[in-house]
Amino acid sequence: MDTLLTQLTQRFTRTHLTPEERLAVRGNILRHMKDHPVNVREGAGIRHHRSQNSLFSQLSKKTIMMIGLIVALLLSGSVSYAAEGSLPGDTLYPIKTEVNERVMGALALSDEAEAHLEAKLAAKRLDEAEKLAKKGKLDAQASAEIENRFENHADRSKEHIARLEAVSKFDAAAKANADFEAAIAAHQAILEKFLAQDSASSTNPMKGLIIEVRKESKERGEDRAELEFKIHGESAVRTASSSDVGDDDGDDNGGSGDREIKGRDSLETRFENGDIPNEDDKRVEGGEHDGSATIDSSVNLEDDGINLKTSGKGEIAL
Amino acid sequence: MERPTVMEETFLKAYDDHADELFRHALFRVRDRDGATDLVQETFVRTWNHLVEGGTVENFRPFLFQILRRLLIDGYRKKTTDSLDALLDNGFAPAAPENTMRDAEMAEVLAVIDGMDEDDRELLLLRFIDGFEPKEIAATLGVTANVVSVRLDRALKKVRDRLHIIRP
Repeated sequence: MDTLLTQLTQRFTRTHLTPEERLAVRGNILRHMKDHPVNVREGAGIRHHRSQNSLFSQLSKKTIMMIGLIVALLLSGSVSYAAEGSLPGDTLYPIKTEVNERVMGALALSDEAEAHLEAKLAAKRLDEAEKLAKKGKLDAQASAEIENRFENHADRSKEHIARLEAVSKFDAAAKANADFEAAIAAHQAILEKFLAQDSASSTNPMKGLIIEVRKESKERGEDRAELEFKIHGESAVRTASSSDVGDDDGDDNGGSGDREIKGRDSLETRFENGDIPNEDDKRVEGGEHDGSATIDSSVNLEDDGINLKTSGKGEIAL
Repeated sequence: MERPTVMEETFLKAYDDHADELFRHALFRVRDRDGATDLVQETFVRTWNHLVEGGTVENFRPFLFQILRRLLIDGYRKKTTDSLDALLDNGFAPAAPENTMRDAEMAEVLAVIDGMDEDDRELLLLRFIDGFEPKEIAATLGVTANVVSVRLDRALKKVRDRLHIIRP
């Protein structure tokens, strides 16, 4: 009997679709696949087909990724929570960067949100470098990893900004750019201090990272001017710039004090770098300020994002 | 689609690899070549939808059989009027001359299996036609491997008993 069944099995394996049937069914399936591409989210129905537009397909890709990542997160909820405070070299660090942060990425749906996230993550990387440096644990490998990740965040931030510009959202692009610039400014100052403390050693592992941060900071400053130009046009920029200097002379300058304090760190940094954008401009505007006044022309840590203001750190003497 | 993605390629390979055995299973169950062909198509369509909706498939073979099984439960069960003759007419076991005797025996076995209840038929089919191990059948049916083995033993005993009645 079992032998018979075995023979039956063998015999049945010879039963198959004819080449024509096979091809016909394959063709139908291919057509279905074409009508229901992977990046179009489908409901439960088999036949219904939603039209796709770019936003929709973008969303669905995100959604698919998000579901997967959220499942991964749920499976490892406490792990990912514990991973949040991890540093390069820790076992949980990959969970932090590859799971937690990718979930954040999946949740950020607009270019604005993504750019904001990249700025946050770039600052996080620098924060990690500081923490490791404080512990004396920032070795070449950790520094290289952080530098690499920092660069990635910076690049992705630029991509999102470029996309915002491409659709003429200059305000949002400027804000995102300023976000990034502000996010790294304070960290840059701290890292520069670490580097200065250890200036004797020519092979400080964080050197590469700092060079990268300086480069970004400089580029963001330049981009900011460019974006401002796109928003207001050249003359508007000049007007804004000169009226701000005037403002500083006046008394009613409530908001700017805050800005000045926050700006100080990066101001000093910039001096160390020998990089003072728009200095010329200010000399013209400021006229005869005393030689010792330092000028911060670059950083705005506030959320309004667009700032081409020249504000004297010290009083500008007229 | 311009260039097939990895998912598309994997999916089409799954079709090329498993279409025939799914067809065989379906044909045995519905006794109708066109119906079986439709079932194969529907199985892959639903699997594709599952993938498009963000689902994953670790192992295509059991997954496809699972889908086919659900389709059968949902109303593609064989029509009671269909007979073994129809099954044979529809392309099962085309007889080669040297196999004539065996074909007769097989027809008996088929007839016996054909007369058994749906659950037993499915079990025997999954085990002996589709070649699944009891453990794999267990996963498909959502029962333990032990239950599958026990039920298979009973089903086989029934087949033997009925064969003895036909051919003592």
